Amino acid sequence: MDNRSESMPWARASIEQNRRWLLAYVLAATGDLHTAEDIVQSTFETAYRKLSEYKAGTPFGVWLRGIARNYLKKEWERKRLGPHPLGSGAMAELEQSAADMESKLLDPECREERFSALRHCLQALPAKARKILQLRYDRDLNLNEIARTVSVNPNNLGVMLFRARQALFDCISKRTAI
Amino acid sequence: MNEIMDKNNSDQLFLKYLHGELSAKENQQIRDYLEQNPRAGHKLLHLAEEELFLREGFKQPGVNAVSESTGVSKSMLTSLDRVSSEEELHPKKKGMAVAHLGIAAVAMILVSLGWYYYLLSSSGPAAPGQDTLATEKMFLFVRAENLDTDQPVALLHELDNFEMVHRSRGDKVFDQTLVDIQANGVGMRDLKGDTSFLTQDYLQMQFNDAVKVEVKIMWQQVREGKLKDKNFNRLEQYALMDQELAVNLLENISRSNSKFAREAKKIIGNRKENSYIKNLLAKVKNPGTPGRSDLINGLGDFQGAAVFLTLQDIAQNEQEPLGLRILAVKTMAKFRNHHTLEVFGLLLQDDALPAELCQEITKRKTKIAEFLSSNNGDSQK
Repeated sequence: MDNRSESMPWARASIEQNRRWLLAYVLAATGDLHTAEDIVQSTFETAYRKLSEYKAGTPFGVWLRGIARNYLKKEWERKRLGPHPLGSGAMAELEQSAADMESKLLDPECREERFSALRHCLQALPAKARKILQLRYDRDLNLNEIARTVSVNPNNLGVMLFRARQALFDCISKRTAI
Repeated sequence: MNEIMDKNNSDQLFLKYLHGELSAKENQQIRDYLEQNPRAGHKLLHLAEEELFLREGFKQPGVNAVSESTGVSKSMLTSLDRVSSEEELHPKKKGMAVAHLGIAAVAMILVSLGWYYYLLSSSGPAAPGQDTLATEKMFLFVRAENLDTDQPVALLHELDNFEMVHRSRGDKVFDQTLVDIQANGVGMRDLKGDTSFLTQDYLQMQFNDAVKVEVKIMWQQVREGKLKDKNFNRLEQYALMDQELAVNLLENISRSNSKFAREAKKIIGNRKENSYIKNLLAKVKNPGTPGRSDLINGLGDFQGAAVFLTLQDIAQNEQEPLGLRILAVKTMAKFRNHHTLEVFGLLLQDDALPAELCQEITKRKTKIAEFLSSNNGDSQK
């Protein structure tokens, strides 16, 4: 984000409120976090540059997603990656789901409650499951690296990680309304 | 494909996709799956959000470590007692009560602005040799309950990762903390942090910053047509406190199609009028201002305590020319109400009042009394 957009009166608040669902949307569309982060940043920059084109009263999230979709298209064309794994049907589903997610994630209370639940639920997990999750999300290791670290067959690790993650979110969802 | 890929399999593949770990074969599998099950895009999005949540969550302090029992020291309790004796330390209590407590150098200032507690600062000035305190995770809670005087109430509080929490939750935690501290102080330990930065100016600065954040959020709510009545009222309060962003937003609203446009216009108008009156009163008070008598006479067109008090000051001021003092009384008499009657009564108790001024006050007082009496009689009929 450049200085110009930072100086916009509501720039920071807007980013704080919309970044999470928008990043999830773009990540789902790209499957690449770094690319997603770049696109989200470009989206916000464009949004603030073209603020005058935004029609007051229309959903802000729809407008942001429109800008993000243009960047997604350009990115895909630039990398010449061939057919996108998400067809038009799945993209339409993403669009609809992102609108639902947007309204849910705008509530700041929801975020804190989930973090609080995460802290609690992690304590309830078996040590090994906790370790795997920590290596994945705190240390950002890939599956092979984690498998080597915890001496587990890489083929089994995917299942273990998935189950640990599932147990964690089952617990979190019980403690929150999410 | 679908026959062999159950829900768990597809979720696992989605997770690998979100980490860029799909093989070419798996990439094709996903493509086929989504083509036949486009509604799975919904699941993919939720997994993406969960992944981002976990990445963020695991990097939060306190998530990986087993939480330690931290608390406040006896010296803090003593300080709390001291503050309590000066002014009850309770969320609803008005007035200033900064607790001069031992606090970790990593204290966080959180200001309650009605809806949320905003994280304002991740660190206070660290005192030399206090590096170890950085692990204590002690946070400072600052509440700005009384927006009329924007004086916050501060309380040292321990809380992990408390960034932006809805007020209802914040209040609950805050109140429970008070109960815990006052009841037994379980887990308390001595901290010798530097609290010298907790000056009134510092808190005011934090408050101003927090107002900016809040108004920025309101700005977006206005754009999305989601601004609620109570938030608009807060915006008005901030504007009246001369918070620049709040004034800007009100002006913006006044020019928009918002349902608040008319009210915003009125507030802006009042602010401009207040500003005009402030300037006018400053001129009236200045003995060197030319044409003061005209200005004093003109004050009768304005309402408000500030105008009345200025006139009263002139009427009572022995240094002022008698003609101006009499004119001030005449202008005060335009405010025909019981308060003016009372003030005139008080002025007449001054033995040093010049006879001419005394006569004028008595005359005006009688007229106002007659006016009020007649109005009262009309209403009784």
